[in-house]
Amino acid sequence: MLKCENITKIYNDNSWFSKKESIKVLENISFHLKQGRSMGFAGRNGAGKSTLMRIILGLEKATEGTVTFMGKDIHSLKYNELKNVYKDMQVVFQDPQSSMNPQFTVYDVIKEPIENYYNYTKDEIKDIVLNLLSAVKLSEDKMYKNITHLSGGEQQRVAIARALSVQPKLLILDEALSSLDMIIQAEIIKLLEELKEKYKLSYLVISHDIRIILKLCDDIIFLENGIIKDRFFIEQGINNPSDSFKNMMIV
Amino acid sequence: MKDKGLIILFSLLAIIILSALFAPLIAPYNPYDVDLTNKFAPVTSSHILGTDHLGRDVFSRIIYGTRMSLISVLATILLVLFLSLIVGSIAGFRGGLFDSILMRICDVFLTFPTFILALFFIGVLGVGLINVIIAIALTHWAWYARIVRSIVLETKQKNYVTAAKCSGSSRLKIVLKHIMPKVLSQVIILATLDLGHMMLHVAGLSFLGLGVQAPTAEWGVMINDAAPYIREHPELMIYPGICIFITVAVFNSIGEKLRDRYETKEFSSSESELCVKS
Amino acid sequence: MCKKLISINDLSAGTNKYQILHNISFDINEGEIVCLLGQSGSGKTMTALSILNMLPLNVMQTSGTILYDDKPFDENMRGSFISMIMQSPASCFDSVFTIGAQFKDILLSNNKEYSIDKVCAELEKVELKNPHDILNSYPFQLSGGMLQRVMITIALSLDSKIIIADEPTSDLDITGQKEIIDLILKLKQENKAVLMITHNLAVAKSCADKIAVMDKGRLVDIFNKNELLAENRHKYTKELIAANNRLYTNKWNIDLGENYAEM
Repeated sequence: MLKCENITKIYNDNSWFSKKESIKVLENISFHLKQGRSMGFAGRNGAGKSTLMRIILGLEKATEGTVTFMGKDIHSLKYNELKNVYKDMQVVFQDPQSSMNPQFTVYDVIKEPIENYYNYTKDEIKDIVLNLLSAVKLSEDKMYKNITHLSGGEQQRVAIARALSVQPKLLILDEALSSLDMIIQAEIIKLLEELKEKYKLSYLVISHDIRIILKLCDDIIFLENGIIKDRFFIEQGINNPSDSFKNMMIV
Repeated sequence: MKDKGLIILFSLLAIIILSALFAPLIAPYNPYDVDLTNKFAPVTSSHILGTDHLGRDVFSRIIYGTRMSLISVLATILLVLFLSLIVGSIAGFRGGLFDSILMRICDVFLTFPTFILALFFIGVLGVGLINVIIAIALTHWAWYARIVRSIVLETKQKNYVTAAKCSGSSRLKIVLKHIMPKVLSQVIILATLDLGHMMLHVAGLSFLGLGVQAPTAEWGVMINDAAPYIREHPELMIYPGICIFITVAVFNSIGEKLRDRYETKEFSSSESELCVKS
Repeated sequence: MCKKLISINDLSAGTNKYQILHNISFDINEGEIVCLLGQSGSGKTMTALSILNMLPLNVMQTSGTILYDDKPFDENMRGSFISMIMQSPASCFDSVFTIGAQFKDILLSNNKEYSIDKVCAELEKVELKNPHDILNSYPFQLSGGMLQRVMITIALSLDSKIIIADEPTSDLDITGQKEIIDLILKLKQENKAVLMITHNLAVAKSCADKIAVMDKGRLVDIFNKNELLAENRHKYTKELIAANNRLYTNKWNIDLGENYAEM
């Protein structure tokens, strides 16, 4: 479904007065995510996980390499053509508060992608939103509340509902659970496991918390300083991990 | 609304706007009726504020003058907002060469003192109310365009704009639904603060005889008309002066109150992290 | 017998509309790490701020007393007696000045001597390499974990008896969290008391002597570390433990945590 080949990303520091520097953030990243599987990117802060996510989403261009999602080369697409890609690939960001317009209500947030992809009437949209709210276990009376009046866990549920509204096949979770409290983390992981069955989703989980990745993913890629250090598949279990990966396992 | 100051300000604003709207009903006389037999009449029950050098009722002229002042100021501010929103958001959203070119044009406008630039434009365009409005708008839009651009640049970086992109929203939709509301809420507050300033500009240019022309009832024109008689009848200058003063003060204070109310709110919510160092 | 450094008795606080803290009482002894565990919004930070006597302007302490070494609060205690480590160190340093300048400023304003060699030695103690480079760099040039260590060093060199750490690990990744916890355990060896605020049971478990659980402004449970799994724990504590355990089971059938290290 998603295939990345030899992705390299180099940032050039082009300011006038300092000496020219180029920083290699990602080097030769290749992987293949098959239909029906979920993949996790583990790694410390600054390992290049988020840059990789932005490249997969087409928000940034890779210096080298290609990203192919369901047969489409993402980096050759124009802005309007990317829209069709986002129909099948959605993302939940790290900080739920900042990823939703603070002036919007829950209803406004969830309806935005629905409006973009379907021509439904107002009543139909309302029904869809209600269905999504019950799918992420939020009560109906939250629908017309302002986003800023919800707690962090509720906000993240709204973000998940927004991502699910166009029935994607791949859901990218960019540290989507790291800013939440423990009890809520456990609740949302349970929710994500249920949704996976219900909507036949694949996840691409980006996290520094190995627990979350082990719970949700079938393939694990461990990134360190922009290089793939380890690759694990659930069939083989974890064998021969590198030392830094071992360090992550002691939580 | 519990703020007493704001209630007083808004009732003053309501009085100003109502007297402009219902000028024909409020004014006891036609402001253009000349009565040379009754010039410089003192304050009487029939002429509340007396008459001017042509025997026209000063009170009626001031009421009609409100109309002129408000219309000209509102037209200016709308023109300014229109220009600056378009230029600022295009420059901010597109970025790159487009941004550089538009901002250098802004810089050119910002280098000259506004009043002198306005005089230059009137010199080119000719005398008259519409030309004054155009001239003042042309001298002010660059400030606003810069502010709009900086807000757009800031909002563009926000996570929710990225999220909207990933929700398949078109560029136009992102600008209209996510960026414009934020820009407008801040720019309108600024514009209210600037209304008074622009009113002074219009009145000033009219006083110089470059704006609204002589028989029209307008505060700046009235001051100009009364100028030769400043020794004998200073009150003829003072009445419209007070009107300008009150209106400008009302607009400024409302602008300031609005700014305090909404901008500090936004500020405190984002910067409220308590930071304690031992 | 350990000396009581801070004793909180029946503390309540609130705005004029609603109450934030309800009757909180606990003690912090010398050389003890106390963990304040709870979800966001449960009043953990407010408790810490009332200990520092730095509640926000609209929040008032409505009842209760806090004694510091059997004395009431006075301004000079901040710094010399209590110091604080914040959640996001990046926002606590002024990005205009170098780390060294800010370090010096804090030490001098607390009547402490500043000598570069001593500070460098302190920085090396928290496992920061090249302390001279760090003192000459600006906050934005360092990573979150490094800044957090600098914060701890500052707190250490102030030589205060008790250190309040408000979510010192939440902004860091797992490996960074572990390093900070190790440091905090080191503080204990120097006979300092630590009040650690966290929402992470795993963090609390790995460093606390005493765990105080807060929920909705109330102190629902307080117990020693080894009593965590006891039968008479409060319902909410049990909920936390269950949520924590759920995070540790996975479809890879891998035992995480300390067990993994022993493998």
